[in-house]
Amino acid sequence: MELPGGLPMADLGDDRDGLRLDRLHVPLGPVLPDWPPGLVVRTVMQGDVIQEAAAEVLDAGSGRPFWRHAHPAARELDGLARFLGVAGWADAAARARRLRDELLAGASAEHVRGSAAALLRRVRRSRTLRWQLRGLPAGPTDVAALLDGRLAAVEAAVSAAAGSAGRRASRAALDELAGLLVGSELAAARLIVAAVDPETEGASAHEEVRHG
Amino acid sequence: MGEMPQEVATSMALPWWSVLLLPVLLGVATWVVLACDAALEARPVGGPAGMGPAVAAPLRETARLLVGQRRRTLAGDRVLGGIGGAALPVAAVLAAAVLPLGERPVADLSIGVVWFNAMEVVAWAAVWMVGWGSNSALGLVGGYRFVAQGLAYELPHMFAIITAALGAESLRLTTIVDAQRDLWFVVIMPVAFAVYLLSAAAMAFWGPFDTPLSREVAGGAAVELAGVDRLVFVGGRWLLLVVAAAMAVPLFLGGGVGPLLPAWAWAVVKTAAVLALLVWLRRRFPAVRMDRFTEFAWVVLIPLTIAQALVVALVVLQRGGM
Repeated sequence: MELPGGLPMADLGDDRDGLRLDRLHVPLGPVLPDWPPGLVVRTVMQGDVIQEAAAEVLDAGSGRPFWRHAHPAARELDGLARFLGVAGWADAAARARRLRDELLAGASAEHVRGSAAALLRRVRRSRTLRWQLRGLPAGPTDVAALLDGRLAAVEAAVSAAAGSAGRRASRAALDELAGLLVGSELAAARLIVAAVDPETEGASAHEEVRHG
Repeated sequence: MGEMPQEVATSMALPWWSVLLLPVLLGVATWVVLACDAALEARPVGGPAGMGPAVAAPLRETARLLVGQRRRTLAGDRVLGGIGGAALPVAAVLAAAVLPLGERPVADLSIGVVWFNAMEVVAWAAVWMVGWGSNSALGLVGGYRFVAQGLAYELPHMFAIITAALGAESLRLTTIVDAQRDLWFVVIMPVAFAVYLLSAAAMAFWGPFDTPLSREVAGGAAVELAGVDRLVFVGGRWLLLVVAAAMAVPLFLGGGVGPLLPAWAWAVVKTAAVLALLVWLRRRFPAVRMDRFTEFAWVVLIPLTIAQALVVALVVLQRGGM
């Protein structure tokens, strides 16, 4: 039978309620707005619920690592900007990006400390953001807790003594990420990826982790 | 209904040729809002400041989209998507037909409120058709998100606008405006007004309610739109936002009533104020997902709007109406 556009039919699989529903294979990334560079999550979806996920980093290990030589606070602000973008808060995301760019352009941490503190206060105080994130499961914890971790990392990186490189915040590795995504809806999955903000630069080549 | 002399006055409508004026007026209003939004957008980024570049931005974007190539997707439903995209601006203009431009609307329908509501619901179908028509997973997700959003906002929205109709004992918008000569409805029905503002943002998938088109799904329902298709769809969305904001004026803010200035000027000033509020709303709040908002809408907003309608009904009864 000739299929529309020569595309294969969606296959069937049991969903979370035990119904047999269409399964669609959807790769997330490597090109999506506010998405970690180079990351690809190959998913099997029913509706917008992720049934299986496999994460990998394209061209890992090739190219010059960018963030390794940048100010740690710039890296943290970049991650925060992407999270706020995914959370649909364009205004706050633009402010975080602006602070990041100032740091990358050579401004000192003291210079941005005031505006960074104002931004963090605004994000922490937003009850709407809390309401949207609280109880969104991400493994043993929820997205709100992950965000708190990210905000603390920004704070620590900005207030680290000027000149000293400061400690880099530890980030979850790829293998944890794919497991967190299984069973979540697309919107939640995007928030989880942005909150985990996995390190994609140092990942070893052809690393692929499958869950589901 | 009691004796309502306005109910028989069908000459309130503007002459027929004003239909042609409507898209022009809405277009100009949309341009002004777009320019203001672009100016605000540039502020946190430290981009080009001032109104000059902001005023030119919508023109530049329009020109870019007009000469841009349209995009075809594999096995996409072009007819469905095309109808959906075109339906959005058409619905916005038709909804504006009952909007009093000052004192008189283009069409003074006796069921104006219902007409507005029906046109606004066309947007549900339009966004879903555009999302489905692209044959793209992200587009489809965006389209269905808007259907879910409709389920969340529509009932509180209907109770809110019906409360305004109840206060005037008429579904005709000019009568609703007349009923507010002494007291704006926003004073006796503040809850309905607040709910209307939320649903105005939601129906134009604007501000915190923009998840159907959000960046996180790469543009959602509009993900595969390019060139003139995108211009029509996004333009329609802006028109819808302007019309939804403008409709708050006859429903709750006394229409063109005001001292010194002529009615049309008051309508413009009040519409601008509502639009400014909506633009501010978007900058102030992060996106609201429907898996969270629906519960709030059904458990909190619906009972609140019903209670509001009850209070207004008592006020009307006490005045000796109905």
